[in-house]
Amino acid sequence: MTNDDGDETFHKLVTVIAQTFRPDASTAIGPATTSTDILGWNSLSHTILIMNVEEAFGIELPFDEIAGLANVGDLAALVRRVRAT
Amino acid sequence: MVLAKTFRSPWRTIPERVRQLAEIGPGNEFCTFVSRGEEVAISFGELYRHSRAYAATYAALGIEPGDIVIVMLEHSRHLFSSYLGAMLAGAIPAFMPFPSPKQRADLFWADHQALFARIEPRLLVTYTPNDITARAALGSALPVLIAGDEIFAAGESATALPGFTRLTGDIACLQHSSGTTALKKGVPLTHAAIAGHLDAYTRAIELRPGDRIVSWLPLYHDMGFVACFLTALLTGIPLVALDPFEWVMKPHILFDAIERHRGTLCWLPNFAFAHLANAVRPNRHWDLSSMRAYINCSEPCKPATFERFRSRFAPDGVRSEQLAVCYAMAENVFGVTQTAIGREPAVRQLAEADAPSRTLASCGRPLVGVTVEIRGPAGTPLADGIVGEIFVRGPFLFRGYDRLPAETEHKLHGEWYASGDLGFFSDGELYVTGRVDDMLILNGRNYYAHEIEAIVDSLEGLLPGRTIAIGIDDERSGATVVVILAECRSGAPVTRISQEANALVMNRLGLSIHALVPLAPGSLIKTTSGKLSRSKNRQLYVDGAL
Repeated sequence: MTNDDGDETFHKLVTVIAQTFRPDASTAIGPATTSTDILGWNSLSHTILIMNVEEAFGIELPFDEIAGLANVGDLAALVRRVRAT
Repeated sequence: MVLAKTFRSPWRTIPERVRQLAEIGPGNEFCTFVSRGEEVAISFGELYRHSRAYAATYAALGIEPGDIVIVMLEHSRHLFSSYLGAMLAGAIPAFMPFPSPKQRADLFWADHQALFARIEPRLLVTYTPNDITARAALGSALPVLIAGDEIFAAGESATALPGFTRLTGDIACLQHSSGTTALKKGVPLTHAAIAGHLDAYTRAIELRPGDRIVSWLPLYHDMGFVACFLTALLTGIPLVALDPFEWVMKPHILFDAIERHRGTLCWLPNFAFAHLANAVRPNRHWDLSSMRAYINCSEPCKPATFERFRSRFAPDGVRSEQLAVCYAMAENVFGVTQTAIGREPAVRQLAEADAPSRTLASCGRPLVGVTVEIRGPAGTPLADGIVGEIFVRGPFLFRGYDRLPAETEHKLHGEWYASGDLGFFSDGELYVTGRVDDMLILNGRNYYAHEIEAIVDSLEGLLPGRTIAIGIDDERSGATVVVILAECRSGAPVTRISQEANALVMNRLGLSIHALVPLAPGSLIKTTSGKLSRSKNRQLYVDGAL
């Protein structure tokens, strides 16, 4: 896991996650955060999150990879990779 | 009206019927199997050949007539042949859900051990790597077979298949309830009950040549299993089968399939209408004019969700008269009532004490041969417009749960089944209003509030016995979600407790909780008998008064 401090992609992604699920203020979102850590992040709302991420970054994420993401760090890495291509 | 007489060829058992269809038209399409954008057409001839290969494999493994075979597969064309193969071998197959990536394998299998100790299956058909955790947990108690194409090469049994000697009154398969694994209730379905239901239900939906069913529904659920898989298997009306997990991520693949295959019939739980309206990107369009009916079933139909779906996809050809509603339960094979196809379902307003007025959609009239009665607490039938418990009687009603005599006695009263659902009749049509008990219907699956409460109750920081699970309509997603109201000790770490509760419920039930609402001790109110009141506390929560 890379250190995401100061990473623009990561911070923007955290904002999108927070806007999508509106977790309470004490829920810290970091690279190791999983969907189980944020209540309301289920398989249906995951699809909405992906739509919101794609819209925020102006990208399209490959389907085969969005289903198997382990945590927020994985999602950030995927977004970075897609943005770089 | 085109009656379904076309589909009522004389047949006594499912193996016999499938053999008939395979011999009449071996090249006729049974199903278009869709996965990751690739389509494979499966003909009746191929399905029958592959199913016989499975039957031979089962026989070689010592499976005998009457043995229970569990089929636990992801989206795979082996779903069909491994299941049907068990019937050809004279065995009794049962589809069951596989673990989600979020579930812990050890807990998943621990719950299944308790279930399997009761139902005593003889074989588990599954996939790699699920077989590894299954074998580790179950040991030699239950043999495991990995589904794969090499089974198709196994050829056919040299001896006659025992499935052809089964009688029409014999059990063909088991359908299991959803919810807590260890408490799953198996509903045995006879060949005769399936045939009787098929006749009645295909009449209700006016099934006709040229129809095509499009489905993303899992087969371990009665709607995917009976309305889609069995209807296609036994009538020869083709099925387009999509991957449920792929559909959740890419809901538009349903419209892709309808457009490409000129689909006419589609069954969806209410949340799926909302998910399509929410998560299909607005910049794409389809020609959906081929559709005869989108049938809302398995969850209470919400007219507002229906309307949102209709208006969102009106430019693609969705019209009000294509919307239909079905009231169904595994105990009656599937359908109990169905609205008329081609006519928008009627609606009624329900005014209840201490709650805002609700708009309800009709679930239609009982299927031919089925009787539905609304009864009051004393067991007496109620007049139209009065809410009571829904009782069901009919020629294909089950005769009892598999190895659960107490449950059977509780629910079957002579020839009547006490559904536990509440409703009323108006102009001959049924309206479902809620539940007698604390069952929550979430994403088309049934869970009991007390089971969810028992799972989270022991968490450190919560006051024991002071937790309530309620179902809430989430406006953003359009789905019913579970919210936990919990009295917490002073200073308890609420975020951590919420995360632990979510993980526990996911592991035990495969279900996400939407929110845990921390409350000060003494906040939850009780009924006059001293128990925490789910309905009153739910209302307080909805009103923002907790």
